[in-house]
Amino acid sequence: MITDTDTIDRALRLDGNAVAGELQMLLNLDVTILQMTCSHCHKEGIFANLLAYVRGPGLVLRCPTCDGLILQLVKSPSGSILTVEGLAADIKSTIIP
Amino acid sequence: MEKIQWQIARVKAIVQETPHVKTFTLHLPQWIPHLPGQHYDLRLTAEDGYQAERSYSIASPPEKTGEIDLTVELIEDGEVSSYLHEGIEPGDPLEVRGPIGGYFVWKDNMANEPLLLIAGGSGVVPLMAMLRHRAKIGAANPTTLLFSVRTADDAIYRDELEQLAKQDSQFELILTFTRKAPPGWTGYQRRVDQAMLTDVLKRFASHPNGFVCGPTLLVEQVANTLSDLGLPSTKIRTERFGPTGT
Ligand SMILES: Cc1cc2nc3c(=O)[nH]c(=O)nc-3n(C[C@H](O)[C@H](O)[C@H](O)COP(=O)(O)OP(=O)(O)OC[C@H]3O[C@@H](n4cnc5c(N)ncnc54)[C@H](O)[C@@H]3O)c2cc1C
Ligand SMILES: [Zn+2]
Repeated sequence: MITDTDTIDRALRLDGNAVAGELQMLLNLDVTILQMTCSHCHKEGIFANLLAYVRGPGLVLRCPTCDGLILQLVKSPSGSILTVEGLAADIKSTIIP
Repeated sequence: MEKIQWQIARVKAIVQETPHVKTFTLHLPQWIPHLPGQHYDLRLTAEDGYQAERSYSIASPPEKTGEIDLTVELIEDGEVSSYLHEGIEPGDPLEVRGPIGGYFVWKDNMANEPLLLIAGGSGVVPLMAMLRHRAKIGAANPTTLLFSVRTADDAIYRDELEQLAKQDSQFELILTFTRKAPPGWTGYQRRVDQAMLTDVLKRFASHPNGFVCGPTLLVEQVANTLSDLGLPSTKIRTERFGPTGT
């Protein structure tokens, strides 16, 4: 059943493009064009197509195929904590053409 | 890639595009050439230190140097868009960083391939940068923009788009009105659906590069339908704007 809350959550969902500025400042890298593999479902994809939830206290990125957690970023006055355990080890820096 | 930093832009001009949409021309001390489809992040800081950040696509083509145009739709209860619409005047400073994102971009090496642009509401903004740049470089690739708007009042850049379509036989503008079509309208009057996308895809002799942008739910539905209709997923680039618009 689709409740109103579901619809709001879905409507608030952004994608990897929306967090690219934050990550580019942190990593000095345009993450949107990275090709990567999800460590949960092993599906390959492009960073820009990850689902982004940015309304919470931090940024959360999830796999568009299995919804698995890919990346979390929490900012605090003393620094940023970036967790990327949802990325399989073979994150390729292959740049898409 | 250039290193991006926060910088203080100066508002040079403000144009009312539609009753709910304004374009802000920002002069940038550190202007970096962008690719059509890229965006800037904009940050507001309150006196107590509270900050709000939002992304806004670049509407101007890279040929317009030293400044960028951001086109912002006023969202009801919207924190940042209402501040921009109600609190900003020419001469004011605004903190921005960019250009950002190399995925949702139309590159010059696509200039010979067919192009399908699909927008809902303010999702037309990055697509407009693509169309403006395409016109500047004189590309003649078959190009269609399917633009979903609520009413005639909501069709951002409509005059410019109709002008472009008139001058360029390779560019077709298709509008669909989801709430109220103008009097005498004979075109589409509904949300983008499978039948409409089938019609649009039929216009292309080969798979076009597809760019879909707008409210999240529209983008996801359109991208899924295009894929059901056989457009390879590598040919479909999407950008979700969140809970805005149509
Ligand atoms: C890459 C990118 C590019 C973009 N480019 C443009 C552009 O060119 N032009 C443009 O106009 N917009 C663009 N957007 C959208 C823009 O970033 C803002 O989201 C938009 O301006 C609304 O921001 P706001 O602060 O005014 O509204 P917000 O305060 O963020 O609210 C937006 C709406 O969501 C509702 N809402 C917010 N949070 C919740 C919640 N937790 N639960 C329920 N409802 C909620 C609000 O009531 C309101 O209706 C872009 C977005 C992205 C990610
Ligand atoms: Zn996955």
